[in-house]
Order: sequence, then C-alpha cells, then structure tokens
Amino acid sequence: MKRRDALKNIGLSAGLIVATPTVISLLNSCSTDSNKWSPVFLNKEQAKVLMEIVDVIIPKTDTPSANEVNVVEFLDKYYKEILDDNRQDWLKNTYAKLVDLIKLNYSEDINSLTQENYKDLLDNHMILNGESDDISELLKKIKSDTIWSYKISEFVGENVLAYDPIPGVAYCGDLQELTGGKSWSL
Amino acid sequence: MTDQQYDAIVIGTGISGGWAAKELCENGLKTLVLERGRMIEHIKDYHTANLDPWDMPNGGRITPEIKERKFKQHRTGYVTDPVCEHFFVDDIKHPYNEVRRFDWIRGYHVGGKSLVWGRQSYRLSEIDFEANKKDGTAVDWPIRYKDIAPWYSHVEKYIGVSGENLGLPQLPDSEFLKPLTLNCAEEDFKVSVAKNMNDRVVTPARVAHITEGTKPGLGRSTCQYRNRCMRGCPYGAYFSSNSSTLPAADATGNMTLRPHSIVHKIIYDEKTKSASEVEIIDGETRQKHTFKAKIIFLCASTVPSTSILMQSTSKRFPNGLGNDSGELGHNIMDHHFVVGASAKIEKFKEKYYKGRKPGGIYIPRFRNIGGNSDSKDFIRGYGYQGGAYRTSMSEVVAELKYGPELKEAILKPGGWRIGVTGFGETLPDHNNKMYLDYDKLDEWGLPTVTFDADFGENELAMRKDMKDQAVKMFKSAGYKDVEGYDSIDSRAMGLGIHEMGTARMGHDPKTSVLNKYNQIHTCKNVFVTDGSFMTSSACQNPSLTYMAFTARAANYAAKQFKNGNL
Repeated sequence: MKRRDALKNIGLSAGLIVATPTVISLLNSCSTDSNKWSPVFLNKEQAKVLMEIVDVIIPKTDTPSANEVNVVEFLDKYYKEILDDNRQDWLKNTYAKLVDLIKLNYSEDINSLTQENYKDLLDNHMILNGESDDISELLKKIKSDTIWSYKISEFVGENVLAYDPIPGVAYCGDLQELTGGKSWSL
Repeated sequence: MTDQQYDAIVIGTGISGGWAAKELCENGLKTLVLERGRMIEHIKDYHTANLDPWDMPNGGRITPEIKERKFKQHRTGYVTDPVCEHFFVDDIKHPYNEVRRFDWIRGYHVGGKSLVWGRQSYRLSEIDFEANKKDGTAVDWPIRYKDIAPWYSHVEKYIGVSGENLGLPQLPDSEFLKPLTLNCAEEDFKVSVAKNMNDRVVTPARVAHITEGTKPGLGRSTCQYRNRCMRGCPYGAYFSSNSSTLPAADATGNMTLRPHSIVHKIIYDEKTKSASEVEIIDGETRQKHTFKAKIIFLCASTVPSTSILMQSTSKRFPNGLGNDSGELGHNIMDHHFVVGASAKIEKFKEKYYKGRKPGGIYIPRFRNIGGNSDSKDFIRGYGYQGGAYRTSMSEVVAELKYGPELKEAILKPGGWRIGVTGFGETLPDHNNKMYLDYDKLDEWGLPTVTFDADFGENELAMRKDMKDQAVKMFKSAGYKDVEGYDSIDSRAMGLGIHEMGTARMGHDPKTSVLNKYNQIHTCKNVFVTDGSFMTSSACQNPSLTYMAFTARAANYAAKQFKNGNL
C-alpha cells in the first residue's frame, strides 16, 4: 500500500481536501504502471482497451482520472474474485467482441488508437436509450463499474468526496456549507 | 459426566439470554450461562467496525464463497455483507429443511442476534394483548398490558431507547431518551401527513440507541451517527448483550459463561416432577457434559428453544418437554413486510444532512383500533418504517456517457427520495409449524429442523392496504414518481427475523405450553422467554417485548427460588 502510506505521510488522510497538482503528480507515480502490472482476468489487449476507456469516462481534471486511482487493476481483480461463472463467461466473450470491433473500425494496432477513437466508440456503441446489444451492455457496465470503483477508491473517498467517518451528530444543513456541494463518501 | 451444580442455567446469550443472566445474577443466583457458539468480546471482536469501503477487498462486495456457504442467510440480501457476515451462520454447517420456504437467519456466538438486531423498540399495547380473545383467534394471552408495563420501563431505562411519546393507545409511551432528529424531507412528510391524514402520525423511529448521556455496561456512550451498527458498535451506543447485560451479570461475580456449549436436552426428573439437568455437547472437544440447576431459562431463540424442548423427551413427556397440548412447534409467526411505496421529493435541493442516522421514521398502526379505522377486509394492523435520503449521484449521470461533465455529476448528491415498508401482524395458525427430522442429522448427530409455514389470507388482504395507504400518503404530499411495491411473490416467513410463537403462553395447559410467568405449565422450573412464548405477533418489532417478559420472569423465578418454591 505505497500510495496509501505516501498520502498519510503528507497528511492527506483526514478531512475534506481538494486535490492539488502536487497531489496528482504524486498519485501518478503510484498509479498502475501498465508495463509492470499484469491483469488476472482480462488479457493484456483487453486491459489496455479498458484503461483507455475508463480515462475517457472519468478524465483528469483538477481531480484524478480513473487510471490515477487504479480503476482497471481494481475491476480486473473484482471480475475474477466476485463475479459468478456465468457473468465471467459473458464478460470474457464480450470483451473479445469489443476488441474485434475496435480493430475492425479503427486499427489492427490497439496501441495506435487515439482518445478520439474511444469517444467515437462510446458515441456510437453505448446505447443509453433504446435497444442495447452485448457491446452496448458491456460499455454501460464499464461506465457504471468505473464510476463505482472510482468513488470507493481511497483517494477519492477521503479527499475528493466529502469524508466524515465519525460525524458525532446528525442534522440537516446547507449543502454548500456541509460539503461544498459534494456527496458524502460513506 | 455431571459437572457442577448451579442455582440457575440460562441457555442462550442473545437479547433474552442476556437479560435472564443479568436479572438472575443480580438477584444473587449462581448462574451458568450456556452459549452454543464462540466468544465475542465487546469492541475487541468487532474487527470490521472502522473499515471504509476501500479497506475491504473488492470494495466489500460479497464473494461467491460466502454466497455458497451462506446461501439461505443470503436470502436477506444484507447479512452476508463481508462487514457483518461473521455474525451469521454457515448454512452448510447448520442445515435445515423446508416443506415451504422459511428464511431462518441465525447468529451462533455470544450475544447472538443482539449484536445485529434492527434496534427498533416498540411496546405492545392492551389492544394487542386483548386481540386474540376479542376476535376469537388461537388462545387468549394470559397477561394484560398492566402486567408488563413496569417491566417495559425497567428494560427501557437500562438499555436506552430514543423516541418521542405520543400518548397513543395502540403504541404506548416509553421511557425515552431524546429522539433522533428527522431530516428535512422526513419532517416535510410528517407535516404533510399531519395535514392530509387525520388518522395517523409520523414519528422518529424508536430505537435502542443512546442519544444523550450514558447507560450501564462496558463504557456505553452516545451514538456517533456512523450507522455501522451491524458490525458491532465500538461506542456501545446501541444495546447488545455484549455491551450491556452480560457485563452486568459478570460484575456480580455470580455468572459462569460457557461458550461452545451446544444444549440439546433438558432432563426431566420423574420424582421431583421438575427439570434437573441440562445436557450439552462441547463444540470444541465434542465431549458430552451435564449441568444441574434448580431453575432453567431457555433463551436460545424461538426455533432452537423449541427444538431443545422437542428433543427433551421422557416417560412423562413423550412428545417433548411441556408438550401436553400438542402445540409445541406450531403457530409459528413472523411479520410480513417488504410492501409499501417510494417516491421522489423535488424540494430541498440545497439541503443535505450531516451524520448517518441509525433510524428513520415510524408510522404507528392506524387500522382496526376502533371507529373509522376498522377495515372490512382484514383484522389486526400494521405500522410503517422508512426514511428519506439523497441518492448518491446526480440524476444527470444516467444521461451522460463520459467526460468532465459526467465526472462532476458523479461527485454531487442526487435528489431526495423517501420510502416506507409496512410491518404487518401475522395471525397464529396451527398449520404453520416446525418439527424435527431424525433422519437428517447435523454434524453433532442432532436432528435437523423442518419448516412448513406461510402467510395466510388475512395477511395477504392486509398487504393490499399496506401498499395502497403508502401510495396515498406520498401522493397527498405532492411527491413525484410514486411507486407502490409488494414483494409477495418472493415472500417467505423468517425474512423479518421475528420468528415466534412455537411454545405459546396461555391460561390452559391443554392449549398452550407456557403460563403467564413464561413457566412450562407442567414443569415449573423451566422458563422459556425468547420469541417462542408469543401468543400473537402484534405488528411491533418484538425484541423489547422479549426483554421485558424475560426480566419479569427472571425476577419472579428468583423470588420463588428464595421462597423455596423452586
């Protein structure tokens, strides 16, 4: 848990703190390095695609992107350890279909794809309203899983969302005054 | 082999057993307390109490292994959560059988389900104690409200219950600590119901939490509004045997607590016409032991207590101890629920809450309590529990695919929603039963329990009203997207975790198992004070009633013991 220790050492573990550029660069140094990390459920090509998609869904702004809080490493392990056999089979098949579709539509070389290609993929193949096929279902699942795992990551839970492990009191108040307009993480 | 002799033996350490232990020990009786499961020490053994989602593997999602081992406990959808699943049994290790589905949710450890209970605490009323007699259902309760009222007070003052007195005949006032504060949406609903519905009221949930000061036990302090109660509370803010009654019993020096003690039989002595010994199997060594006592309190929770009585056969009681009536194991009840409504409240967009309350709102029973409240379609009644909250993300999230705008939306709270579910009374029915299967034994060689029970016509008719009235309240408040629901198709008894009634109280040994002091009619030194004594279910959450009856019975037993009558 290097990332966690690093954050604790600079005193970021408590309270509501807006992430600063320094914090983000620190996070960069701790986030998943695609060269060193090996997926346990997806294959390398699928993991690469997922890493690109999650950062399109949750890009870096003044707060970390999805990859900066290791969303893909988390989801890959979650697919393997939590999902039942049927769901795993469906995911394996549909991820394979997704990679085929990407190669067909954009490039045989996955590494050459741009962010714009991935935006185009989501624009055309994630169907929010209307009949949804397997690819669309997978893209929607990726969206909801990305949001969920981003929000329950330690950095986001403690520093981006409003964090209050021991409130001590319970009352209603002004949203801006209480959390600056953010949701509580717990 | 026979071990030591005690004045009293208490079987079980849950909400009833803890109270029996405390009252008997404080009355000076040398008491052996037997628990079939492992020790759970207050605070020390609440290992998940301070964990955030990112501290749990996979964000705390339930693993396939837990679902496989606890496939019946998992029917609740929440007790197999990794933050609390260690307080619930393994269904493969502890099997049972179902002629009709029955969700038997169990906790085998010191403290039992008092560690994980819902903490809702409501008194039964005179209307409830008179109901069976008035409408000719089952048998009459042998006691009335005045008999138990002082014991409700005794218990409430000790454990700490927060709430608001309303002076209602159907839901008597209690000895309250200050109520939980309603949030702004709950307050809005309360005002609306007061204005639009002249027959009902909204009140803060009455819950066994310390909201001010302290209470006796192991350093119990006020609620910190973390709402992680099911993991065990490191502040001792809600009542459990582990934080309150067992430490009190221990402090007297009169209690011997013995975990890993699986009681399976109470021995009846033909000469003295009373119970003389309790037989156990040691869960660790697998050796058998017997313990002698003058008084036995059976508090193992409804189904295990009834099962122990059924296994306690003798020449005098070939069908189970105290079972001259043939009612032992019959009349099993649970509350029927998961029926109500939810809605969207398009107000208070600039309001949010601080703190996570351990209870929301309660709407006391308003049906069949006289006058215009009477229904043609069903007898008895129901109450509602519920609450209002902001959803975790802005509604815009559903319409966006990616990008900074989506990112901003996922970090903002969504709008307000409100929901209520009814908790309805279930009538006792002789055909609803549990019994033992001696062909299917557990790993201790003991018979397994078979359930054969379901809700009846009165409950099904009541559910229509439970749904309709919830919809009506939300619509009259002007709330949007009002949706009524009724999960009747996936219903089963047990899901309410209020199983009760299998060794009922009554006036007549021919039709009931226990007398008005929770004594077996025909074996007076055995007291049964968990949910099995319930003659009717009422619609209130029952734990407070189990505690009050246990305290009353234990003090009666201690008095009889001192007078040489037991």
